[in-house]
Amino acid sequence: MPRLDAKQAAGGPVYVNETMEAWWYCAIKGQDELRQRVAFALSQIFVVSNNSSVLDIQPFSLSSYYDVLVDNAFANYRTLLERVTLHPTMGLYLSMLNNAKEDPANNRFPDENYAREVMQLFSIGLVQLNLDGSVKLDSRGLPLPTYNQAVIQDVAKALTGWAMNRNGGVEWGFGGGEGIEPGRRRPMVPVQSQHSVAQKTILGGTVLPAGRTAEQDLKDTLDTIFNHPNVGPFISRQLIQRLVLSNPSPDYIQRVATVFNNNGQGVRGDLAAVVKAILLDPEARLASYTQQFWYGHLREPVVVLSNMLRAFSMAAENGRYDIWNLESPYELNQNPLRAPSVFNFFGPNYVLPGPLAEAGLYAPEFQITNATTSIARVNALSNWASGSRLNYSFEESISGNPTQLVEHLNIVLASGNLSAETKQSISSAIGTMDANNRRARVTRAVHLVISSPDYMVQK
Amino acid sequence: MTKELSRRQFLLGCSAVGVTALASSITDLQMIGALSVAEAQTASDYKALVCIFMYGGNDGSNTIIPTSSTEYNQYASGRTNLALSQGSILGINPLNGDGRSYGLHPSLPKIRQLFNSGKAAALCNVGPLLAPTSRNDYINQTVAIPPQLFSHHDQSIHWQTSIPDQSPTTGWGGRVADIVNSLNVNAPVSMSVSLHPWGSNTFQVGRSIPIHSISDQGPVSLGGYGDAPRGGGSNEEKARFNALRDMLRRSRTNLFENAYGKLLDESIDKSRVLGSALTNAPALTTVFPDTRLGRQLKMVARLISARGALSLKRQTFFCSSEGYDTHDTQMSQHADALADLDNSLDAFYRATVELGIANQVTTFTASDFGRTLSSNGKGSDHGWGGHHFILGGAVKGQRLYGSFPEMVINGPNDSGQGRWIPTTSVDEYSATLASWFGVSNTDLDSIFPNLRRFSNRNLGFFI
Repeated sequence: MPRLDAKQAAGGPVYVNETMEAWWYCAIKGQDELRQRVAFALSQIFVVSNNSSVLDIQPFSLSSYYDVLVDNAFANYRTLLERVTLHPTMGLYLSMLNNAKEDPANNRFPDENYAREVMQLFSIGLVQLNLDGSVKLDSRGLPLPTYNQAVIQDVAKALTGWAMNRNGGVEWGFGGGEGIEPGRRRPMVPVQSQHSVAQKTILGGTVLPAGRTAEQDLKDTLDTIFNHPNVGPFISRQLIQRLVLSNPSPDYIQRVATVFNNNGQGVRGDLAAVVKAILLDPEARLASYTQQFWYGHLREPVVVLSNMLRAFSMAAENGRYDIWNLESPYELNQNPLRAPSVFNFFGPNYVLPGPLAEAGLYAPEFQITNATTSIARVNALSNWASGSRLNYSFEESISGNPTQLVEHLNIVLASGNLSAETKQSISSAIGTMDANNRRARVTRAVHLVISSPDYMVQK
Repeated sequence: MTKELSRRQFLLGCSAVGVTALASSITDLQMIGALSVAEAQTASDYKALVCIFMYGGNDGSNTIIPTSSTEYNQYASGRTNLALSQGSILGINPLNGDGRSYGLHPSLPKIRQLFNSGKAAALCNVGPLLAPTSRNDYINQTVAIPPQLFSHHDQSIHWQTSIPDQSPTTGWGGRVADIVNSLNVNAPVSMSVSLHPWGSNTFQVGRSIPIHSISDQGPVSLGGYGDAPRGGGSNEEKARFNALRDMLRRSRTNLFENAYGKLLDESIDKSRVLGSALTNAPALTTVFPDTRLGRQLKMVARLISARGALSLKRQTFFCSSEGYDTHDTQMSQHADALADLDNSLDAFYRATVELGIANQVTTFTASDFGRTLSSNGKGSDHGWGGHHFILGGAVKGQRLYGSFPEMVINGPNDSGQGRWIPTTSVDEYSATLASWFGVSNTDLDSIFPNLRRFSNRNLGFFI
């Protein structure tokens, strides 16, 4: 946000590309890598997207929302949930902004969009889970839903009556503005006359009495959701999938969900503790796990690109990183804040037909990796690798010795995961190149490293 | 005759193998399929099935609207501020009248023209069901209903698998492909092509036939290796390309590495073949809208024109369109989405005429669900049954199939707020399409295990 504001203050104009440029600035130059990485993971759970008629080409709204994820990446989940719920960008994306109370005489009922997705996607999911992420089954062996349509309708009522907080005051029904409109970046505020005062039966049978305020109903609804036993395993599993591997063991999920439930100091929802638990878990680190045939996940294209540009200290041009429109299938098929829908670029339970499916393994990132995008991605990454603003001075200095060069790339790109055979294949090929053309040797070596299965699958 | 008996005995014999009839009939699909196709196919003519999936839940209640006065008034009263004005609705002339009059959304003049000229049909109030379900059944919970009604993801999957009460492993389009692919001899690429811009779909997932995903601009060639992928190139390019091949083809312990290596390796070859076939295919003069859907259908038309070079007698295509989840700004958003559908489907039909195969290509629409009749102030919410179109020269058009719901909140067809309980199941819809495509009557039960619960194995919308 500060970058966008500065540009605006300097006379603008601020186009939506600024959002992408700011993201890349933080990714390449930022010193808070883990925070940015977790925020990116959170943006794939609490999804808003430029790819929608209500948010299209709205850089300030998108940046303001993303900053909430960055700021709260290590805060408490309950805080994050409330900031997301009341952010006007989310209010526009899932139509909670200006969602009015029921009017049965005129056959009009509150919009159910946010009520549904806040439960289905942002907190508890569709079916009841055990602490280890496994699905609870009833006596007939069928899953147990977490809520039904009646609950959605009442949660929708509970969340009615929120509007934009503009400079001149609250304006019910106003959903416009961008850029300097402060209402777009302040939390939404309640308009009691538009709030449903009916009695409501929300999640888990909790009854919200009639006649209360919008703030009371919102607080109790979010508290009820937050305290549902599903949240720990539901959120933990997805964060593990983004940060470590696609198929965590039930024990791993349980260890992390346990930390979500209680960080050791009696606090529920401590995201910093959860992230720490995820990354320091034996299943994240030990070779006895990482060498298993079922381990790992296909690297997300955006993370691959940021890995590469950061590894080689890509220089900004006039202080800008003009890395745009990566969401095209001819580019990376992925771009922060540009998911095709609220279901993100890929789902946690995507199954790739073939040996992975036969082994019962999920492979979310393969959902965006197919006959067209796999090649396009390699082409795009290779083009980026050849960019003139990448600093290959060290790599060029050792390019006379392909084995040494490849081993170096093995460390800075692949965390040492290239197999001996892969390293041998690449060094031999590079060895056929003119030794005087140092930069070409380096960029072609990088192309081959990032195209290798050893690299593309993070272990 | 002999073959018919032996097949039936085989199916009955499934239970002897210790597996339930329904589950095993899917896993034994290929053996049944081989018999079925050999028997059923005499002419090896060409056919293509094109699925247009409208993601988000298309508002059926504003797609086909009753215009006779009692019914229109019921509709307008229920819809309040979402109702289309009577004057704006485009009247249609169905040959199988039910005494009432109907029309289409103002954004659909071309589909209306195709309907009135017999090239398009409409199927009313279709959706996922586990068994025929009345309003009383729904309220009293005496009939099982598909799980997670009103959830985009789940309902989209039910539409694409046509087996809502089983864990999704394959789609009905994939199961059909597994059977009919024996008609495609030595085809270098898959018969199942997905144009969905963000990757795969469940509809075309089969046991053996893979999905080839392609974008609307066609296949991508691997860059950076000169002509080496085509057998040429400098020594250096060859060396680097061979290094890539070695890395991709080497078998490893890690299944993800193997999957990625295989995918990229095969894609490099298939893209080359596809690119070449498309380049050599006859050019199309039909102009398509420059929208996501228009471009997808243009690529479908080009792939159909290349069917000879690809040795394909049967092809399925999956295209998608978004923007149907009209919780908000419904009137304008829905109008835009349907206008795109109208222009794109019309252009595609004309392209099939240009290619001389209009009678051999059938396009059908599908969507997660219909929407509530009632308004939330700015739009509608998730529903259940919706209306869909089937288009092509083989379609017995200018008719409304299925049964149109009574547009009354809490009326006999309502599950609440005008979420119509489907009166035709996705199974019956899909089986009718599969049957035209070449699947035999016996195999229909293997592909659609729940079909026997419904009364209309064939809805009759083909000539």
